[in-house]
Amino acid sequence: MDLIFQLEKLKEEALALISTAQSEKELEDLRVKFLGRKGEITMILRQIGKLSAEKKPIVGAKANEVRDWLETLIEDRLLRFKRSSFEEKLKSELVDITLPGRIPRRGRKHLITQTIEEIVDIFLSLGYWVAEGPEVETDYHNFTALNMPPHHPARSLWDTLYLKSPGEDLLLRTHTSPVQIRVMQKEKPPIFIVVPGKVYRRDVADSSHLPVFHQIEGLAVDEGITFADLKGTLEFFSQRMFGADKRVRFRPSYFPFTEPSAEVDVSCFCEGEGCRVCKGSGWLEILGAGMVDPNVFDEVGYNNEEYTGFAFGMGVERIAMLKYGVSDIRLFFDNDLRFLEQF
Amino acid sequence: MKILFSWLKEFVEIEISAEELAEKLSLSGTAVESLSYLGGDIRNVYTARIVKISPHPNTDQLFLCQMDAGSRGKMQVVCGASNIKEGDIVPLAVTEAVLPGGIKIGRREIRGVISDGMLVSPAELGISEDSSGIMILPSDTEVGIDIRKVVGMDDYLFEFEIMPNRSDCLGVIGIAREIAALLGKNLKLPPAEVQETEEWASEIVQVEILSPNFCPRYSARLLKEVKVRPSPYWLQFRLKAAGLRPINNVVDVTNYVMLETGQPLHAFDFSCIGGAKIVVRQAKDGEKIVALDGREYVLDNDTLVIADEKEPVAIAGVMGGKNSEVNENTTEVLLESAHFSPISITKTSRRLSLSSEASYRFERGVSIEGTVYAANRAAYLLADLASAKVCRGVVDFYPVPYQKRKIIFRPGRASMVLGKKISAEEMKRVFFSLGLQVEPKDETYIEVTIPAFRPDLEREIDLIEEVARFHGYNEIPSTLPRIRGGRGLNSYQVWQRQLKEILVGAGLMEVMNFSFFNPSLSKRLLGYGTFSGVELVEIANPILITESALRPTLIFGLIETVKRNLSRNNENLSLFEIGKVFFRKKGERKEEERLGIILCGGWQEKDWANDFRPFDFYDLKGVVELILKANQLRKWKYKNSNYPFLHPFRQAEVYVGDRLLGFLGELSPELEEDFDFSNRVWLSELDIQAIFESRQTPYFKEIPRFPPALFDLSFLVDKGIPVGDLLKTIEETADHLKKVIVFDVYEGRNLPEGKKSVAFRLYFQSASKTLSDEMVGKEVEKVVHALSSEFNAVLRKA
Repeated sequence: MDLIFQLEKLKEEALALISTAQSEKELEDLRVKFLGRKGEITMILRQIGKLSAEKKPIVGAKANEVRDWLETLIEDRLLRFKRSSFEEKLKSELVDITLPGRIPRRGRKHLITQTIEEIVDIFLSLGYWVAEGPEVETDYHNFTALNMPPHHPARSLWDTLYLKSPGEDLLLRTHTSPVQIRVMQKEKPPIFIVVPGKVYRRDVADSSHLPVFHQIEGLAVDEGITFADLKGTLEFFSQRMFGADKRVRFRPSYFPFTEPSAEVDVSCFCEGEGCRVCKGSGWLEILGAGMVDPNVFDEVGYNNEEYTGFAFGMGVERIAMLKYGVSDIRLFFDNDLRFLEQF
Repeated sequence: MKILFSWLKEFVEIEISAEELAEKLSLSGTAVESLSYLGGDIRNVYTARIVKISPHPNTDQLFLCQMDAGSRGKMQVVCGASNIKEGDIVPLAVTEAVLPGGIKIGRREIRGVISDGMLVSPAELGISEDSSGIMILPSDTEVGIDIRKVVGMDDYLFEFEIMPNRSDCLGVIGIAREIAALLGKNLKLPPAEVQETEEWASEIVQVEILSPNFCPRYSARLLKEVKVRPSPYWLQFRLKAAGLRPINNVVDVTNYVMLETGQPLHAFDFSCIGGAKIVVRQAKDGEKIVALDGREYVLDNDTLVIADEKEPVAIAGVMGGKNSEVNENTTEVLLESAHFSPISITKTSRRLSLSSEASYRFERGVSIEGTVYAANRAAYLLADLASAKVCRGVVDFYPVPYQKRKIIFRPGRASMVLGKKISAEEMKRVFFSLGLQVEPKDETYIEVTIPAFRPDLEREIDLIEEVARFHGYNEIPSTLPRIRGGRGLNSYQVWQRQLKEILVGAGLMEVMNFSFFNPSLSKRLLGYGTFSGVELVEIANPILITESALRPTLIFGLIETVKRNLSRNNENLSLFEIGKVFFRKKGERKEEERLGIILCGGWQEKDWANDFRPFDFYDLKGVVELILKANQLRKWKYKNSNYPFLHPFRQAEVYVGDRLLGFLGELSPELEEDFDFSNRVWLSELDIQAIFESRQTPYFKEIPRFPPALFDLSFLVDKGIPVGDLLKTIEETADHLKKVIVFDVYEGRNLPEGKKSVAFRLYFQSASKTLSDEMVGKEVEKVVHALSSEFNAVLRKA
């Protein structure tokens, strides 16, 4: 039989078989059947040697053409199979995107820690640094040095817990202000510090009082520090902490260790509409402040004509309650997981 | 301090509303804590005359009253009270009236007769407890006017928060002076000119001051033919509004004048003053007095008393004695208006745990110049209200008259401190309006003379504050200081923030507990391990006996926190706290920071993806080691310990070098029972200062370029041998050993009695070459040999 004819027939047959093949395996078998060492094309190619010199190139070319065509066809079909079986495989790996993820367990910093860091960071950004001091204090540092000698009526502003300490007048500090004294006794101005820490009062816990809570104290002492500087600083703080739209109000007040003294209010979140939190006044009291009293400077040996300064103090729990809407101060030390997890 | 608006208005002309005044006062330093309108609960109640009373047609219990309410018209009401008669003027609640408590009155039918309203008792108006009958008003009361105007309810009550330095504002006059300065008005003082009899008080009363340091001034007036009776309604009303209980006209006037002037007064029944002699002296130790509160007080030598010739008749400046109390039979009254030293009164009040309106004022300082005015004012009122005859002259012991303080004030300094240029003229105006005398000296300063009623003004800075208050704090600009010397957080502060981040990232929740400690827990704690030689720091005046010491450890607070959470069904707790602990050791007081960790439950509850696994010792140990590793510590070790609050066989101490960092273990099962835990509780407490100080800085090591060789080995050893000992031997024996992992520990079936199987994966790696099988084999052989000879370990087939 004419080899050309055989090739044509082979081509037809192969096309039929290849295009109906159902699997990769069938295709591999067909590859062997046609293109293998003993495959039909190979067999034909072997016969070419026996042909005449003029037929040889014609049949040879045709055979190569058919072989190449077959190879391409099979490769093409194989690729299609592979692709579809890969798709099958992917399909089988379908995930339910609605099942909950495996969230790595994460704890939380206590809301008070978060609030302290938030406040401290605002003052760090202004160039302040952080000072700390003991929670067990001497009567001298907590009161006397802060312009409250024994029997001073202002001492009654704080209900104090005293310690059994023969020979020493020890107490649990009622405010972070004694750290002012400790820092100024050690260093000369300029002083720009904030002092976070626990403070103590002989108060029974209720929705707005605790015997243990946190304060942040600030102290700025240098030449030429003014009351206007105090105002600007606390306005900057209040707007960073509570929002740029907040207004700040200063009311005269009294603290033995500052003069002039002020209570500072920030405008309420109700925008003056009047709400439960501000009791309808439109203002929230957030801190106490004032110019450092010259007597305090005398006590630490600063020249009170040369230096002026301001100090301020705020209750961290109160700030957190206002900022995060916490309704009862006892929640901070109750440590209920359902509270802690919210922040 | 509570004061009625109408009272303030007597002393200064006020043309603004109560609300506006409250705002102005608050912004100038007289804090208004609350402001309330007294008549807010009353509406549509008018004065009316009872024209005719006739029986109710259908019942004997009720009457019909024909009422004339003037411009409000005539009406008929049904009434059941029996204290009324025709012609009486009474309060009439008409249709749509509201009474305190939200009670609404309307036109309605009562037993078949229409009643247009209701006649009202004092109790129903909320002005007294008297509900015995209808309120009968004075017969000259106009009819048809709002009842609130008649009974003083058309008024506002100011509640002031007076700061300890402003004793002058503990009287109406002091606050009125602030208002006058604020509004630019004049202060009007109430009248105090007394009609006197011929008889000189000083010829009847003798006053002797034995302690002039404690009592630098004693003024007194003698009143005769005093008629003691209830005070008039207006006076009682003002006292009650101020929170004081009316007693009788004499006592009430002393209180009234105290509220006006801030000067406490006391009235003695002069007939009870033995020898007609007042002696101001220190008490004898053990001397007793029954005070007006009915309690007996034992006095000592530091207590100042007012005595007659033999015994105390008052605790000076604090409270009068029962023995000389003014009562309805009193006819002769000695009015005391004295000045006592604040420190003496503070000490006495504290020692006796007794305080009063008087002691409160004396402690804060009262004007020594004000005693005579107050005595005169009280005598003036009693002459009117008690028909008293006032004896001639004030007995006034005042050996060292007050020297007015003078302060040098520099307007330039004030502007500098405040950060705003304020004119000297404005400053002078402020001082003048506050009753201070101003004398210009030269361009740079003025001299300000301070009256006795402002003891708080001592220095230039105090005057600068007055300028700022009246200029207005909110008129001063806002600036930021130029800050020098910033140094950020120190290394410990940075480190502690990072430590918290690490713990939080590892799934632990930060908690905060009170720093208190129940001393009854100490027998389980003190004397062991980190608590050996530790003594508690105790609170002298604790709030609760269970909180009467400072915590020497964080763990009990953490245990309570876990307990509280479990009781609320919050499970799977992994908590930490960083806080101070307090103790004494070798007589030295310590305050140190600790990290406490507590685990209870498991890392997570069972869900579709994870099984529940209860916490065990190694979870706790893992957290501890996470912290140590994060601080680049390597050579830590554990030692057995014997803390009585921990499980005896599940606890250890952890050391870095020779430094004890803390302990870890399971809460003692006995305590778990005491605390009613059904779950195991795992606890650790570490000295974070020690960790901070031991921390290492990482230093770069070349990353190995040659592949590691792994080798698994499994040994059979006696159960009692700690795996850590095996590990230590392996690490000490093998060279090129990069790391060892304990990948299996097995006890139980298929193993000989008393044995366990421990499997290790050894990673060998060299920095300089690929290790050959031969070299690895040699190292493995060394390990097998060492374990076998040291621990009798038998190599198992892999």
